[in-house]
Amino acid sequence: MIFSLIIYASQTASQSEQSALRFTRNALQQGHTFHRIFFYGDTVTSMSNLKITSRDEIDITDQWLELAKETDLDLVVCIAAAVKRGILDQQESKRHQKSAANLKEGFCLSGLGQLADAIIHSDRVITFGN
Amino acid sequence: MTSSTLHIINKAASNSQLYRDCLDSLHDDDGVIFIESAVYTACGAEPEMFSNFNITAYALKTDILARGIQDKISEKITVVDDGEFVELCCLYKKSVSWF
Repeated sequence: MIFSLIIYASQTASQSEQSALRFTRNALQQGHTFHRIFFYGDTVTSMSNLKITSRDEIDITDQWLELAKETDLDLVVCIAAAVKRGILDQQESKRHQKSAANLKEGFCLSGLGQLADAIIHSDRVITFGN
Repeated sequence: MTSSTLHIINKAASNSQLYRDCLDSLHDDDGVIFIESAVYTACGAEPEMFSNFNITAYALKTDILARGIQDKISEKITVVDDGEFVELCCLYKKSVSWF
């Protein structure tokens, strides 16, 4: 089956992103595929390249990237949710005349059209809320 | 495959409005899965709130073990592992997440 996920929750305030990552790993192990992982709402703050994870904690963002490297996951961060929380790629940084960009490499900013596309092209869309 | 809906709940029953909203939208033959802190709803007499419906209630093993409540889970609950959670999402045609 083709899955897509929508993830809402802040990594620091909720377990949801961890649940979503576990779900993704298990589905891939069963031979399912993913059309897209769509990061929405407060979860976009996880994708800041300036975030520091304590040495005794697990960086879930890095785990998404490792999984994406192995399995070619499409990791999309909602552009509207991101820019209002100060998560910018080079293009948005330039457009809004900011001094820096901080979106972690491996994720891309895009609009809700990509979510609509994921809903159309997936057999199942599972939401992990905050 | 069933045409019913899998309701995914991740909050404890202390979020009473969330549970009221979920109960209002339940249909017979739907499934409910308790994940994250919602696994507390799988304990003792808590699942009775769903007794008016002919549903199957599941709870996620990993989250139960993480909270140390494995001895308190109601007999009415089917405990599933992460792989079985994926299988349930395939079995039910639609899913709704309550959070």
